[in-house]
Amino acid sequence: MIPRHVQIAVVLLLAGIFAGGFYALRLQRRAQQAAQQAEAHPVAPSVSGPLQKVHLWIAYDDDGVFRPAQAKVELPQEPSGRATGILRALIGEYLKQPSPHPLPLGSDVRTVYLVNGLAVVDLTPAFADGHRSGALLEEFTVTSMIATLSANMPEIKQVKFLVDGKERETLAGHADLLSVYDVKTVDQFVQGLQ
Amino acid sequence: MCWNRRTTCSAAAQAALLAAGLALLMAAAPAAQAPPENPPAAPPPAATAAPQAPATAALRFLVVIDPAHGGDETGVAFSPELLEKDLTLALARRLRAELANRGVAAILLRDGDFAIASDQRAAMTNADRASLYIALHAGAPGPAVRVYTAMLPPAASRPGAFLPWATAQATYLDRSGALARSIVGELDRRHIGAAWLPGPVRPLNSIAAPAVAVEISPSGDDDQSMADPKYQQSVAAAVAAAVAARAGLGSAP
Repeated sequence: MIPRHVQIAVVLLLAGIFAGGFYALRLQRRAQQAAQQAEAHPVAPSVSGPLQKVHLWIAYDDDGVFRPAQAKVELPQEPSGRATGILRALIGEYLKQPSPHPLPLGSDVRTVYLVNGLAVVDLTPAFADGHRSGALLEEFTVTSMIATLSANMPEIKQVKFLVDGKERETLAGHADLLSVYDVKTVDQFVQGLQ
Repeated sequence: MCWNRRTTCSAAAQAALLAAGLALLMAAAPAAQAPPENPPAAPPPAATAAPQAPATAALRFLVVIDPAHGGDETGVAFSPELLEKDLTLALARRLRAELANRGVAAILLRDGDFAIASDQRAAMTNADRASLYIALHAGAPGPAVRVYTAMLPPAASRPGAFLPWATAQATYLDRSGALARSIVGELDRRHIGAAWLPGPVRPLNSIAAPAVAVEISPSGDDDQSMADPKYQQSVAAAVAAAVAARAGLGSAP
């Protein structure tokens, strides 16, 4: 016969284990929700710096054209942060409602590396994973980003894209992300579709 | 070996060397007679699916039709039942039939629902020594048909023996543009809105032949319009007429 006080201790212990497990599960779920919200959060403001005017090339899906625009954003002097801030200003336009060229929530630029005239743009996974599929739609995203970079930083001659720090074949099944883009060729295309 | 000891090479060894040299020359001869297009230098990656048909190297003018996507890679999902991969395959079969009517040989890179890696599509096309490459896509927004050529700067100089895999198409941009212009012209003649534009559509950059990607699009909000057999037939006929003209076979009535 098990003594009564041992039975009570075992029951309390089991109850404690269940309660602890339940609490751990809730914590895990809350952490996942917080991570998802952070991913889906609109584009974060650029790193602080003086307010500057930037030139944007905005794609308009319905009309099949690009239109120039200007925005004022805080940009640092450091070139990599400056390029990131410029692209975030463009993405911010696309994330507005209504949008001329909708991008998925969580679309953002992680960083831009600059090496001897080559800009390597690292996109968030949400940017590519949630992007609408279609040759023209994907082309508009890629080319408007390149033309916007070029309009503000003429020293950039080539652009390459990464997603989450890794190479990816296409943006959403069509637009080539493995190739290195020639900025001059892209600029001619964008300016030809004004 | 006799080439290390110049003066002591025997007559037998010389004869053997001569025979080996002749054998090498004969082995190289078929390659020398192949079409003048230079294959890209990079080796093709591993295939994810078997090609539909073996290359018919004996044909003088061969069009490779590439119905984009396939298998798990559906392309644009306009609805659960209307997928880009199915639209492109249906259009590809019509285009092959239209080309056959005009006496132009054509093969499909896929004639069923299976995936082929993008680089493998280029590798198969280049291995087939295609005269023309036509990729088929479907996508919003409408209503115009878009004809893409590679978004590359023109080749700066005459290519050597090998072409770089990533920019093989640069050498063919002029001829690709001429093909795109012809297709847009034929579509216009049939009152189908069309536009030619450069586009970064994979795998155009790696194709060592005149190459375009044709993207059909819905009429207004009606995605189902792309599956309309009449519409597909008109687009296929226009593309085939343009190709036949490029092949020197004239335009069909």
